[in-house]
Amino acid sequence: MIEIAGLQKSYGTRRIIDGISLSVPRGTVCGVRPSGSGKSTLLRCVNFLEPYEGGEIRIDGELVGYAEHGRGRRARRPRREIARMRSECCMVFQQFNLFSHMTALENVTVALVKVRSLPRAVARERAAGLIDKVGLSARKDAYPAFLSGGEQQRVAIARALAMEPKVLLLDEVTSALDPERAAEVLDVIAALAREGMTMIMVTHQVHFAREVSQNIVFMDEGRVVESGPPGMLASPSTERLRGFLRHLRLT
Amino acid sequence: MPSIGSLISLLPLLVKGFGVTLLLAGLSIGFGTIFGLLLGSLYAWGSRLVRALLFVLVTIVRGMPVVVQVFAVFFVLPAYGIKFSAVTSAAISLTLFASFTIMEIVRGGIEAVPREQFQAALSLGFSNVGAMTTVVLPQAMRSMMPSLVNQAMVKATSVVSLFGVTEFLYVAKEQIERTLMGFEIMAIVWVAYTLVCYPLTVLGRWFEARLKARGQTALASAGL
Repeated sequence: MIEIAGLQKSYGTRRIIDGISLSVPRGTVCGVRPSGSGKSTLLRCVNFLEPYEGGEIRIDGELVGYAEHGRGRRARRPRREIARMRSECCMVFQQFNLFSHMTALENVTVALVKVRSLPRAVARERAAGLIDKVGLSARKDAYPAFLSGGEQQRVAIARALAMEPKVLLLDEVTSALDPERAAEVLDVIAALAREGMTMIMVTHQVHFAREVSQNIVFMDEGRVVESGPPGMLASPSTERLRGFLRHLRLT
Repeated sequence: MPSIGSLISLLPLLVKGFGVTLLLAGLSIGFGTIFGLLLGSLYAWGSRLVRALLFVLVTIVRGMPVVVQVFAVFFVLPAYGIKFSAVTSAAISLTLFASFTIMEIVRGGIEAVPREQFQAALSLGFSNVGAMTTVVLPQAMRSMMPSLVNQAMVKATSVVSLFGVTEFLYVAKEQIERTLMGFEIMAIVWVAYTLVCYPLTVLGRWFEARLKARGQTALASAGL
């Protein structure tokens, strides 16, 4: 269960996230339709790659990034704890960011060995299973430069899944891919959704988001414009969302 | 016509000189690599003050021909009462040169690794140090290797012959003046340098080929 309440984040004087609240129960998918800035920043805050100034993010009740000292005072958690919490809510990036000096299999294995301290043989076995799951057994020994974008992204998903995270954060994972490659990746995500993986997915693919999500959030200018079950897309209550959907149908 | 015999009689001297050259190259490459890695890491990750300081240093040192650097250690330091033997002075000045050259290679190598690689590692739960040692440095090292095994350092040692250090080239010049077998001795000099430098060139190419096979690119040589 992820609960975000009144989240605020600024870069200098520019407010990127301005009081976002949303709740993602375990086993559900939350599709976030981004617009303008604040799209990836939200996910980066959940993963604490970016610290946030106001509001809170809780994963299973635990405050992300900060330790509480009563009466609303808080201090940054020790690095080790931040690292542990990051490993429990893994992020998949728009540009894949596979480690370029490692094969697909090594990419999935490395954090299991170095972060989770699993014996190498066990880690490799688990990694091989996940590579198989994303349909890339035949390509497991290839270096990222020799994988297509879609293949790289599927490896990146396997790499995140290997940590057995409580939640998977997907940051526009298909934006850098052509439609065919994107479909490969979306198939993997749809399968994960069926298995009950908790996910927060920032995506421009409105139709896909509607299919797999239990909850859709429509963001604009660092605020939630409208949120609700996927059905809301059929009857939007705000002019902003209506405008956006109209634009989508025209193009 | 000089006899093969007299040429052979010169060999022990030349071998000894070559030994000094190899020692100087080994010392300056060895210590230069250690200091270069340290300085390069400092440059890449240090505070603004540290970076500024290193920038000034590197600009001074690299803006100077090697000969001038060696000159400084040989003649300027003794003026302030710091005296070393000729070979030590040579080793110090060449190490200085190697350190700053390697520092530039290291800094370039670290900075060439995209920041996203570091962040991806953090997002999986790596510590800062873990992300550096597991993800950033290995990539940096790999892209640096072709430039690091550059054979130029071996050849650079020859400048200290100008300062009376009895390394290979100095001994060779001495013997040429003594025996007048210029062509023969220079041929030996060329063969000997090539015997050491060529394998290094091959090794450098091997590193480069391995990078290419993995779809990574090598850092352009920092131009020794």
